[in-house]
Amino acid sequence: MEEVLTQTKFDILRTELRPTALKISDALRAKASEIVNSSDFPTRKNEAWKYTNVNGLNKLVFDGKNAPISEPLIISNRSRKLFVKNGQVSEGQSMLSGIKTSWDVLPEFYTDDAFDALNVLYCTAAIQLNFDNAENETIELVFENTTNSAIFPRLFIQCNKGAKGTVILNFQGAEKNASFINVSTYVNVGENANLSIHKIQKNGTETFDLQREYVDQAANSTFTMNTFPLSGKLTRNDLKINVNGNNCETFMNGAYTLKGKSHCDNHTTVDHKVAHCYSKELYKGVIDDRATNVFNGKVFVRKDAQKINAFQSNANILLSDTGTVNSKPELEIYADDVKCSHGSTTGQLDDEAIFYLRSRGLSEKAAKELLVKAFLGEVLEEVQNEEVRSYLEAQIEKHFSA
Amino acid sequence: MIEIKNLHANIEGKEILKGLTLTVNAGEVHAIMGPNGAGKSTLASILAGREEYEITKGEVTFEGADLLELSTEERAHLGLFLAFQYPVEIPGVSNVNFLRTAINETRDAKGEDPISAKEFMAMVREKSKIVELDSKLASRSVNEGFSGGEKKRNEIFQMAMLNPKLAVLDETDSGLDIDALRIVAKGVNTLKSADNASIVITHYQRLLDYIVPDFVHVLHDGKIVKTGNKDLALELEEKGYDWIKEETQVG
Ligand SMILES: Nc1ncnc2c1ncn2[C@@H]1O[C@H](COP(=O)(O)OP(=O)(O)O)[C@@H](O)[C@H]1O
Ligand SMILES: [Mg+2]
Repeated sequence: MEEVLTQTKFDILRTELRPTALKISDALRAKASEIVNSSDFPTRKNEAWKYTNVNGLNKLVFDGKNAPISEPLIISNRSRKLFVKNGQVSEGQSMLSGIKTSWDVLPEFYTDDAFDALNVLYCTAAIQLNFDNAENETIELVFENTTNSAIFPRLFIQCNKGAKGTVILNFQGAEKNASFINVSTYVNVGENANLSIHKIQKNGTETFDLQREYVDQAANSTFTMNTFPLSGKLTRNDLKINVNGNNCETFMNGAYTLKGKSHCDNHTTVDHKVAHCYSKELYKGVIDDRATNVFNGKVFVRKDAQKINAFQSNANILLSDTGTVNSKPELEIYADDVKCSHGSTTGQLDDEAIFYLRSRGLSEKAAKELLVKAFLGEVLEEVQNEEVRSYLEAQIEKHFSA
Repeated sequence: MIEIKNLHANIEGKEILKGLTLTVNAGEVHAIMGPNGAGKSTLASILAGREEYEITKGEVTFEGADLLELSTEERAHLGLFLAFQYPVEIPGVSNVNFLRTAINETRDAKGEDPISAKEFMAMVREKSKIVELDSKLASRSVNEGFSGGEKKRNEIFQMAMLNPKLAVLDETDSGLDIDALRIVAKGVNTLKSADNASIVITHYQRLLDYIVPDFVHVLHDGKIVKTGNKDLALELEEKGYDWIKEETQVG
């Protein structure tokens, strides 16, 4: 008998990728290989990928073509920084305390997600951040992408018991950069700890960016994930938060500004496994031209997780007739003493408000810009870090002047 | 200042203005009165450039320009101001911030430098006093959560900030108690000069006790059917609009 071997889309993609130079245990390699070997790219039939098609990944050419980034790279002047250039940790930076970039062997974290497994096999940088004290130190990771490359960072963020920390994940791509960014981030928030992550995805217009965050929260902890997809051809974020301890607070905020033919997909899951917790999610964005946006927010409240307050909201404004939004909030509640709400809206800017502002002398453009800023302002107000907030304000302004 | 000639306008295929003619000169206050549905707000909206209306005939000259050819914001830059009958609430947009943008865009259109922060804040303080508008309200989101009276006072505050050549006040008095009415009227009177003019649209005579008009026009069925001095307003108050309607039909 002759076995018919069909090539999967992953097989084709892998011919373009360079296996990781990092040391992986045999067990982890075997596991990751098995997952990728038995998978193919998700299709419409896969519920979680219904509206997002990644086939374009196989059209990318990692030719190393270089183009500089014309805009300021850094968001925070007050933070310690680690630079990752085209997927590689910049030299001479491995000595920063609390930041680990060299490994005897890659940590054993993994999931059954095929892109996570792919990230293991082709990892370009593994970085661990540790927060040990209550000083709320800020660390900015600057991912500078100037060549068309495969960028596979694997991040481990540990906020230990009672510690406080802020992380800025700053992805910056040259204007037309065509990279494949594939990031897995494992986050552990210890008891009484408080961690905030601000993720800015300002990718080149041809870049695919697939990211996953796996978060575990211990009792009495606070975790905030702020996600800002600003540009890129396709951006997909999977945020999964397990709230494992009592009295936790969880905040998820997102703001996006889409134009051209860009596609953005935010999938979030917060899993309330235990009682007495609070979670609040607010994602808002504007969609222009032929851009498409997908939002899927799941809130689970497990059987014994009483006294949970969980709020979720997604609001979209279409700035063109050709933009598309698919928004699906999902609540699954198995406990009876809970307070949950969710809502999703998609609309246009208020014509009456535009007319009112124009009648006072504002141009149509200035009027729309003011209204969009006001709309997204509700999310920006949630951003505690001033430097991140003012960066985002400037980006929104720029989005309209372009 | 403004010359409206034989203006005809439709909305959704229905003719609302049917040959309206009106001239307003600098230094004058004109009152336009008329029953509900006469077309008063339609006139105000068309002057401000609302796009839903189809102008089928007539012309409007404002400060020497063909008004109907200009965008809403260009009209504002030339000095036209509309106080809305129903001011719009705009959550998240600060009143003073947007006014500053408005002033600067107008200055820019005239080739002038932007207003300094200091000068602007001094102006906010001075002008909000005229309409007794709490400076906290002045800096809140545009009209959000304002009472009816506060909204109307905010319109006059904005007018004071923008210092227009021609102000069109569309039923700024409706829904106001006597105190608010007095404040609004005081604002309008304070801003009056030999170089500017106003068109005061109202349904009732009572506003005209405070803002004394040079001319009173009756708008009925899309046309100005009668013009007189302030006594005409009193006559209308006494007799209602029916005699006008009858007179027009006979005529
Ligand atoms: N958007 C609209 N669509 C259809 N008809 C309208 C619209 N706006 C006004 N109208 C009609 O035009 C007429 C004049 O309205 P309006 O100018 O508001 O009158 P006034 O301000 O004198 O009370 C009314 O018959 C009204 O129903
Ligand atoms: Mg009216």
